[in-house]
Amino acid sequence: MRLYDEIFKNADGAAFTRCTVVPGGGGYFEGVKAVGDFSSERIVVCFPKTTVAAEGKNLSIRKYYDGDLQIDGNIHVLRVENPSSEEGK
Amino acid sequence: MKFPYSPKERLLIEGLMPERALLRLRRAGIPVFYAKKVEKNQILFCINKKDCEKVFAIYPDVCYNKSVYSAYTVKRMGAVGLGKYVEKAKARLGLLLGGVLCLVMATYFDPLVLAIDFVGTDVYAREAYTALEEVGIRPFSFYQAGKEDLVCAKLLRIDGVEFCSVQRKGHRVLVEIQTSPFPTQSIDKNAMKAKHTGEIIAMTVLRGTPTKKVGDTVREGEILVQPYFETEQGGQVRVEIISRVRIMCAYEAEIEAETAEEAFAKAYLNICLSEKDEILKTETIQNGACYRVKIEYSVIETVNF
Repeated sequence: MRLYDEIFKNADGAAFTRCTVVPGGGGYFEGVKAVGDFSSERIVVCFPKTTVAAEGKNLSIRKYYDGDLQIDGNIHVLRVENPSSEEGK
Repeated sequence: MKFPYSPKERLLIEGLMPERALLRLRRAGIPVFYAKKVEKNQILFCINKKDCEKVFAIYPDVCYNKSVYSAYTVKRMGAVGLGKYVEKAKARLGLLLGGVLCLVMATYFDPLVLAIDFVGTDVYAREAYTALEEVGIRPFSFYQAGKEDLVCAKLLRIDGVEFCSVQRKGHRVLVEIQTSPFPTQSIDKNAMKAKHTGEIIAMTVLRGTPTKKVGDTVREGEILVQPYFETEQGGQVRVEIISRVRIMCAYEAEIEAETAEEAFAKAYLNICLSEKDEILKTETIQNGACYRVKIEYSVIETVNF
């Protein structure tokens, strides 16, 4: 999509990382490398270049396969953590 | 074509940082569904049933491979969704088959007779079985509707049967037979035979053909009246005899006794007279230590009279 191309054109190789969050619902994450911390209030999703923490209530992983992650529950905050720490790895 | 539904299995993975275990499953290409952290070191999740073997190849099952060490252990928690019912059905296959068989029986073999029960009395069970078999009703055969009256008619012909009904209750046939509480007089359909030896002194035949006449001497067992009428054309019409015959008999015997009365009493007991019979003449003569007793008496023999 052109919108994503515009957003990720200066993202330095992070074009495969995408997050879609439905307000009051869950979210869909593409290009997921690993799941870090995992609880019903917080799920840490690791991407190749960055780490994103989804915070909310009643969170659970609906589907996790081949770099795709679907989260159920109410996501209130999507926080990008240590964006520079993954660089160069 | 891909089948839209794939059965899923629920597993519990346990170990330090169980999220890392999910990473290994991802690398193995195993899709993980409905993952939920139930404890700090436990994650409950579902996988496709076909991937179960792969998971247990990566992480040992705590139930079967206790000796194998791994940082994470996996426990099978059972099938999910439709697969749960399939597994339950497999575990209760006999019950399921029985239920299906019962359903099939109720749907397609409703008129099948499994047993014949009797209500009231079963003294005529043999006759009832025969009557039912004649119309094709027997255990493990199909019920013949509309033949009940035929069976009842046959059973009601039996002496003493006052009420009879045949009906089907599910897979059982209920035969109700009620007999009369009072004994019914049976009709003798055979020829009248003499029960005593003597001379006929009176004879009344209302139905039947007499073979002897008054004045004839008869022996015990001889036929007195035949159970038929002779027609003018020379044929015979079978009837039930109604007849009464009076026979004069004589009894003579030497009886050991102390007195004449005792000898007569013994002789009286020997001839076994009934209420209608009467003694015509008696004679008791002492003969040494014995007595010679002579009794002339008449007996009445009847058939259906």
